[in-house]
Amino acid sequence: MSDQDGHDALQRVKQKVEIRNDTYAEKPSTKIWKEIACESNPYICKKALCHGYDLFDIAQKKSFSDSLFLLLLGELPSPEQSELLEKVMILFMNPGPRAYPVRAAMKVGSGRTAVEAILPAAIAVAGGSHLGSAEVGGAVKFFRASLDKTPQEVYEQCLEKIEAHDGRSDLHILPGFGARFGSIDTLVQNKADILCSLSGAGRACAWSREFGALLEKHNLGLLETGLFAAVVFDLGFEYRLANCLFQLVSAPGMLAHGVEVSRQPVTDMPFVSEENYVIER
Amino acid sequence: MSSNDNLNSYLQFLDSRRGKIFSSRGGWRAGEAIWNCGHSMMHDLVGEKTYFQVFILNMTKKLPEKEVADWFEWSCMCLSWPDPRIWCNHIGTLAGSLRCSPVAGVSAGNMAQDSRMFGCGVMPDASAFIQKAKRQHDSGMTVTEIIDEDLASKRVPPGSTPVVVGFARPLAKGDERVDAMEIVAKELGFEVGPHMAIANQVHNELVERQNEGINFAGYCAAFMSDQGFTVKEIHRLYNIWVVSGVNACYAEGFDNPPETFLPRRCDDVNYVGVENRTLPG
Repeated sequence: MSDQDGHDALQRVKQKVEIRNDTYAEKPSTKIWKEIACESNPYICKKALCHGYDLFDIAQKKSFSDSLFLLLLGELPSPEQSELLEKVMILFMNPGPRAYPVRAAMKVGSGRTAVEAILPAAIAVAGGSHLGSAEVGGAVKFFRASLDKTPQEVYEQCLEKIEAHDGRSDLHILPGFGARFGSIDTLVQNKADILCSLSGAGRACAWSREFGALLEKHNLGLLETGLFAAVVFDLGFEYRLANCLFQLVSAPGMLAHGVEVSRQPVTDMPFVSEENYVIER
Repeated sequence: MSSNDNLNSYLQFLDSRRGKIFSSRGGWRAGEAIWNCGHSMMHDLVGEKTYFQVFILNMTKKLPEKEVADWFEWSCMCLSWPDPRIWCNHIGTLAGSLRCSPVAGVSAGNMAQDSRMFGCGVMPDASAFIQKAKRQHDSGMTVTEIIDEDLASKRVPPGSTPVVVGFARPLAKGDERVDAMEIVAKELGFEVGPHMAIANQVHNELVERQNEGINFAGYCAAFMSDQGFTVKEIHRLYNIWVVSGVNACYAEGFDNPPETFLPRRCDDVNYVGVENRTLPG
């Protein structure tokens, strides 16, 4: 066997191992955080600034959600943005005890695991591409690329896929749009009513509502991930931040349920019985 | 079938699984056996098969020959060593230094290998490339055409050169691990398979064109493809790839005084953001 250059395809030409000598920075750089050292110890910080603002001033004058907006985007939010972020953080703070990330938190809590494992384990489960932060990131990428298309145009492009779906699992026709347990997620629509009516909501929110309405006749609609993505896209978050922010914002519910269960006897959580555990061969 | 019929059928399916688990992988049948993909652990596996044969079995439902499991084990050894400069290992050291539990520290480090640059995160693309290349070659495309098509599909930042996944190594050019594992493969009785033959030809051409050759991920992807593993299976199997080195670095971080690993003074972080400013409101 030989390749087109006449080498024996069973043999690789030898390549010497050489360091690339890429140039790496001597120090990490950041636009976010500045620490002023104590005169007596250069490792101890006496003052911290977030995007130029004194941390203690921020703590005295700003809400947590405004401070978070500043930390992540570099400027303080407008009153409209502030309201929208505050509301989305409340509406998404708990995915609920049936949601898989929260169930992961509860399983960690019930297993007598060190409580510091609750959040990392649950947040990892919240990172998936189905109803998780990776789907939020995908939806933000979609908005960035496709908001210039009308919902009707995109709907028509999706029709073939919708009609071909066999109904045996929840279809996500685009990141953030689809079915939950075979249906439109009602709670999400109610959340959208609140969030999309706020003056901070913008093009992505409006687009999502319109597209969701077109999907209704197929029992599909806006999902948690799509609504979250639309809101944070309108707030100016790019896909990486949006992805991770979804995990952060929904973490309080994981924390609350996980710790609640950790205080209970292990038998307070279900353990599937022998007869209900079916090994298929 | 109407969408209502679809919904009712899906709800029935969901109801049939409430409180029940159906597993094709196995489970514990108290008093009978512990089943691993159809094999009784105590009767068929313990004392009979190696840990890595069972690891591969549980991941893929296929019990491999010992030689395949031995090769896989050594391939895991090759990718992970105690050097805290490596991204995943670095995280292990930081976790050890702050006295996280071994599980937390190693899990945190292991998560870093969900990377497009190193670890098992590159395996889906590396495996998909070589399996597609084999199909393309079988259908008459030359290696040059295969490479050209792959490189043309890449979006890279201005000034960067696109690379074929599996054929460029971060930090260095050339890969001593490939030569080592090739000797292991020969000693275990493996011949060069069709995916490896294509990989060798891609390597030979890329060394001439870009001075970039096969890296360890590309080599492992080709070898595992020749053993019949799918892209998904290869990705899943290598999720333990970096664990050994992370463990070592975690332990060293833990065994040294806290916060003495690469300590940073305040001015060791280069602040490049806006100057101090007064907080409005």
